[in-house]
Amino acid sequence: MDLTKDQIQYLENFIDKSGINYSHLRDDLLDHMCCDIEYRMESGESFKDAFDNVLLDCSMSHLAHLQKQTLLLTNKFYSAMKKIVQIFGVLVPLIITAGAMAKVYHWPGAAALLVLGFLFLNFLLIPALSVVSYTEFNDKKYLTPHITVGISAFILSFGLLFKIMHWPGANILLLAGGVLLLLNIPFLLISVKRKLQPESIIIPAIIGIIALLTGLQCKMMHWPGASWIIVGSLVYINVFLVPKYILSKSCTPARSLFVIVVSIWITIGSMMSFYNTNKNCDSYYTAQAEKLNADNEKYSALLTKSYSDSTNAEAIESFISSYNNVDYYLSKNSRERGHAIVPNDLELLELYNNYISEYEKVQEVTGGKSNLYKLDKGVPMNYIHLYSNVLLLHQNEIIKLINQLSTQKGELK
Amino acid sequence: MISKELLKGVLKPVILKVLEENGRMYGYEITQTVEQITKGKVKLSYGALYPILHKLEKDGTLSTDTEMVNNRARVYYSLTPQGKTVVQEKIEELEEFVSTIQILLKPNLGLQFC
Repeated sequence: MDLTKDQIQYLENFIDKSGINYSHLRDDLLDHMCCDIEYRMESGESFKDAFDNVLLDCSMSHLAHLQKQTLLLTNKFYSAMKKIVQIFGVLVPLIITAGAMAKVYHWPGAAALLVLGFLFLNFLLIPALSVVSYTEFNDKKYLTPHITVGISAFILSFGLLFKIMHWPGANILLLAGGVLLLLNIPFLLISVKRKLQPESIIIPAIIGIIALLTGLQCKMMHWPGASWIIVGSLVYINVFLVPKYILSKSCTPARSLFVIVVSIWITIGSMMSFYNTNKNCDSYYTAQAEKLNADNEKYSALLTKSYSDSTNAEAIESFISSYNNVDYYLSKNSRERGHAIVPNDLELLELYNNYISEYEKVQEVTGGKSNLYKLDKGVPMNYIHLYSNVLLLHQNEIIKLINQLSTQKGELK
Repeated sequence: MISKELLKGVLKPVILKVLEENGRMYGYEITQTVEQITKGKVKLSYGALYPILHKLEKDGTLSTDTEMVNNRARVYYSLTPQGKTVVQEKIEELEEFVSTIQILLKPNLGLQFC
């Protein structure tokens, strides 16, 4: 029993949808399916039943897998790239996570791990992924979008690295990469459409992912409204998207487990951007600064009282007034801004440099036993952080002066 | 039914042997022939057959030609002259493998070598 033209057309559409286009594989599979169905129809099955039965052996995902297997056997470059993706797809997240943890806990080697992870990501994983994806598409018209998406991913991840390391140019990189990626959304739509089933979930999924990425990008650029976008998209993904996918027909238990794990991972990861280390530092140093401020006021009063008849009253007065200026500048800024020093913030940079030279003096005097924390320009450092340390420095300085005066006067504090 | 794991390594020589005996064949015909000869014990799935056929074609062992049959293109596979020597090598290799495995599977293996 021969199939009609319409029936063959139906099968052809089915195969095309699964993305089979390598060499004459499409013809092979179409003929094979036709023969299979014809054979079954001869024993009395309807076209529909026969098709459903054949589908057990060659569903769309089976067919897509078959093309990948064929590519693995016939294309050596593809199989090499695929191996790189498999190895570094596991290794890169591990290295970057280890680097991020080391950075949060101030362990040594954080910067090295992060840089290594991002170098692997940018020079091995992203190019290999692009090659694998392009080979699987096997269609020349996708070459340009693949290159541009690869480049935008490259720029974005370097932007992320620069941001984490507080290197100059991070914002420009993030912005450029983000815009370039946004321009390629139509292409991303097509590529995801091929891989995701059921189709009804594709558009909502794209919307959710784009919203979340936009929110995260806004957060990184310190733009307003970022938190609302992130929370909104997370609620949308977890309350609407994930249940919709899990309840859909084509979702197997393994897939639903995978989707749940990934959604938890995404949620925790995104929520972590709210509880950043800066905030924790802020509350710690704010408390410390408040205590130090109160102490210093007491010491200053004591100092003012005891230097009134001293010979270098002028020098002490200018010291106290300069200290008050620093106080004012730092406390004002630390209330307004809570993020790290940026290299073009010259005023703060000068303060920082002053701090370091003062710090070294104090370390020398105390034999390295002072309780000052050595601020490192490399680690994220914010105003309140510096402020509380400058206060501590001043405390040391004031106590030193009081002691000097006391010995001059021959009496104890 | 013989398990897929066992079949994995012997598919290539089996397909080559079938093609050597029948000349020009298309994919579905190969699966049917193998199934008939083995009385249904060896079933070639889509996923097992076509990657191997394409690999063999790429290596120059097989050549293809396309014919229109019942409103669709049918791809026929046949051995190239170079492929015919490959078949001999592959089959000899497989025969050696089978006889070696048979030795291993003989009962009282230990006693024979005492």
